[in-house]
Amino acid sequence: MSKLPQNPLITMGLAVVALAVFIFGWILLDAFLAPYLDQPGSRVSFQEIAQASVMERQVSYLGTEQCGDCHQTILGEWLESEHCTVVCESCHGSGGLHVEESTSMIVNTSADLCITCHEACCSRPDDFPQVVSAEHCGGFSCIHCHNPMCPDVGGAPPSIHTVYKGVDCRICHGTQGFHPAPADHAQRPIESCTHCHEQGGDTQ
Amino acid sequence: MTVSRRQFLMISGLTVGGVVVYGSLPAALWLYQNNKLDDEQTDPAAYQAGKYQWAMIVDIEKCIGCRRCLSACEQENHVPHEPELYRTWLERYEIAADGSLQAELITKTDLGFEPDNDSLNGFFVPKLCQQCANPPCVSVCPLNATFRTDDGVILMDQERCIGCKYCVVACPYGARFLNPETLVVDKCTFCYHRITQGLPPACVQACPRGARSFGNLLEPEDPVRQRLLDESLQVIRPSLGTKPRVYYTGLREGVR
Amino acid sequence: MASISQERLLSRSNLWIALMAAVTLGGFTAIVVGFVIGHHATFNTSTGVPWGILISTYLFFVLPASGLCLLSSLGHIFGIDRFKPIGHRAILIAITLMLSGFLVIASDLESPWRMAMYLFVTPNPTSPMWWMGCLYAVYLILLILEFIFLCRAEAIRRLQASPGSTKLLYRILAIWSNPDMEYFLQHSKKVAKISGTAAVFFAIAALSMLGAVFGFTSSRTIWHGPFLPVYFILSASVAGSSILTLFLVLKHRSKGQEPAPEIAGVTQTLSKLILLLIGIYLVFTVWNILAAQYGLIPESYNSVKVLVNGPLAVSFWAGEIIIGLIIPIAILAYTRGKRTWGLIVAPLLIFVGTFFARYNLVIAGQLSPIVGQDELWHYFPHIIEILTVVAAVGMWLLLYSLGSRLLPLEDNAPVSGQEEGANPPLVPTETATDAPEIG
Repeated sequence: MSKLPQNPLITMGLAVVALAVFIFGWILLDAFLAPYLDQPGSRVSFQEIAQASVMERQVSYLGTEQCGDCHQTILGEWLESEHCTVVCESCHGSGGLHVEESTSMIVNTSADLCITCHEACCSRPDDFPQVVSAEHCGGFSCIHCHNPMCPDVGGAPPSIHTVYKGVDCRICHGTQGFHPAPADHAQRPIESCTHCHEQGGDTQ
Repeated sequence: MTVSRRQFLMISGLTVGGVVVYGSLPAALWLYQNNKLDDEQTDPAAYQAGKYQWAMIVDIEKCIGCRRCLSACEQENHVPHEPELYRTWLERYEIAADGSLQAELITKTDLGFEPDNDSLNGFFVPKLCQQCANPPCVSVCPLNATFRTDDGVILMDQERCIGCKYCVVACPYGARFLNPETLVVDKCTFCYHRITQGLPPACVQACPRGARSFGNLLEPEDPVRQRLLDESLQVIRPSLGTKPRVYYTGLREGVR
Repeated sequence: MASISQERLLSRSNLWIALMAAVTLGGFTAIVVGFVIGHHATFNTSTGVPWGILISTYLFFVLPASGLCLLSSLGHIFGIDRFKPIGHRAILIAITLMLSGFLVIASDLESPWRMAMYLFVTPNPTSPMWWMGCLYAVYLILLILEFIFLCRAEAIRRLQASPGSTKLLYRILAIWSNPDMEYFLQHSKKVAKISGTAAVFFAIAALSMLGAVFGFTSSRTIWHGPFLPVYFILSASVAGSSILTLFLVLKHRSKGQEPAPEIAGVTQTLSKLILLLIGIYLVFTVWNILAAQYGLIPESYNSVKVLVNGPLAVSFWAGEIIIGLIIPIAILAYTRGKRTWGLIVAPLLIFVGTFFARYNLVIAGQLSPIVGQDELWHYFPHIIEILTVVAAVGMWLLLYSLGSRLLPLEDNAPVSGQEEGANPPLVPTETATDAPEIG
């Protein structure tokens, strides 16, 4: 048995060990005992604070009801259409900023938006209307024939859409229903092709 | 070994000093954090989390791969518009002639798909955080920065995440990512700010085919609960024992 | 100290330290740039590959740091006389490796300061990473404690031998020493021994916990399971003994010096130990790869395919297998630790090989997507990531060189005629002098 020398460094070494013991003691206390020591409701855990901060986020995807508060007419048309399951903000973007700051909700009217849903793809369910966009319309914009709010083309296309480059579409495509090619297309003589189709161009 | 009186005092003094100095930091933080909520407006107690157990059912055969859910999620949750970063994302599977599956991730910027003549059939699988009842991400987080709420949603603590990305590695569903704007890990919250107000998650609202349905498993009349009881629903990678709260119908063997 | 001649100032040792300081400084700049610009732009990690070269470099540093502690314990704690002279140097290398490892892991985190803030405030005892962090922190403290008291004893001994020594660091280390030196020396060694014993336990615990960080991720089949904790302990011993042998040989056998017989003996013993360990290590590697691809179970097979015949094939076959295993085994078996060039080249190759091995381990577990995607993820380190690694390596070599030069290590006891700054530089010299036969 020997006397410990008067050495602060050794004492410090022991203090470090004590510190390590304390660290692990604190962990045990913190992790295992703290929930039992707290009175229910008296303290809020750090996780509840994080939970509250998540709950405080702003809703920006508002929903169709709120769109209908202002846009009743268009909503009525949309509700009757085949697109009635496609909510407004699906195409127009979220309305949060629009309500607060009246930002524009006009969307891209090219085919890009339409084909995200309707481009033919083997992975899509068969009962869903799909087209191969390159063959379907010959370069026409989708909204040339289809009204996005009411896309079904059961009858003739609306009158604003019937004249293209000075030619009435209905002469060839008929007034009842709308088909990509005229009904008598196959029987026509080759010489008449350029009446409708531009030479060297695509189907126009 | 005998310890003199002076040494004993010295040792105990240093120990107590160390304990006080070191202990004051966590204690101060602890107290500070526990009083912090008083200044805020929302009281999470008003929303009684114990009354809910949120769950989602995804009908794979209804999904058309239109990515409306992706853009809804991005706009609702301010997910950075970069490919690769998703809270909910879409996988496209093609079934080859021999029945094997080919999978690809659909990016936000894809427009339509190339018509594929080799594959005759296929399907889409919308994915999101599976809100596991036994979440690997929560058990591996070193600082408890991610946690499971009483209503069964895994949330992130923005103040606590150190960005070690261990949860990103540990998640078997690839549902987590590091948000380059907030510098913390981000993930689907089931639109927690919406569901606690009675709104459906943005992706559920946006889906034009009703492929996603969302509900409370503790509500007897809830259609999701009814379907869970009546139908044969599947989960992804059930062998891992994570007990997901996102159920699928029509999930083929081989979807991972 | 008062007058330093110009030759002294421009000695190879000084140039080496200046070079390493420059490298470290440059690397630190890159780390700062990485934090300022943001890791999303300066790291090539992604959602699919969230852990990149920095995590693998962390493993590369801390594994040998733990292995070295086990080696130093052979002499100081288990009392094997042959290993006694290497204890100081082993711990010095371990401490410097740990510091560099912490630097790398801190620069990989997005908010490293939160780790310090919350580590004990909201700990998660179910997280292997939390345990790993704590165990390595305590381990580092114990190592430093052990090292201080070992050096203190040595400093006191040397000051006693030459009372007029002007070395400031020795005097600082010997401060508060009792007039009764012999008595005091024993107590310093006792403290060193206690903390050293504790450090061994913490080294093994921390190592296997680090293995568990990977082994607990059930989502990654190639990591999951009890293999990695065990593999890490073995790999740590291989890497630790290699780097120790390399530095001992560079210190004592370069420049055509005759090494002291006990150093020559321990390096030869170490080389045999390395040969044994690396043989077992090769067996571990082979069975791990074979078992993972046997039966073509998709998840593990895909991960192994990345290594064997995929984007990591070069790194695996050339880096891990040929450089890290085959060539060193051949060299060690051929030279049997009796030739200096073999004792320099083989450990160096093994140590470089472990860098590739860690990289392959970390990256191969992630490249094969766990989500519905057939295409592999891509990962190649960004220049900032590489510079961070360079900074860490530079800092490690700088700290080691400074420590080796200034601190009273047991194995660089002043030879008669050399007063201070007598340590040769760490530059590998090509002098392949034959080692003397050990009788």
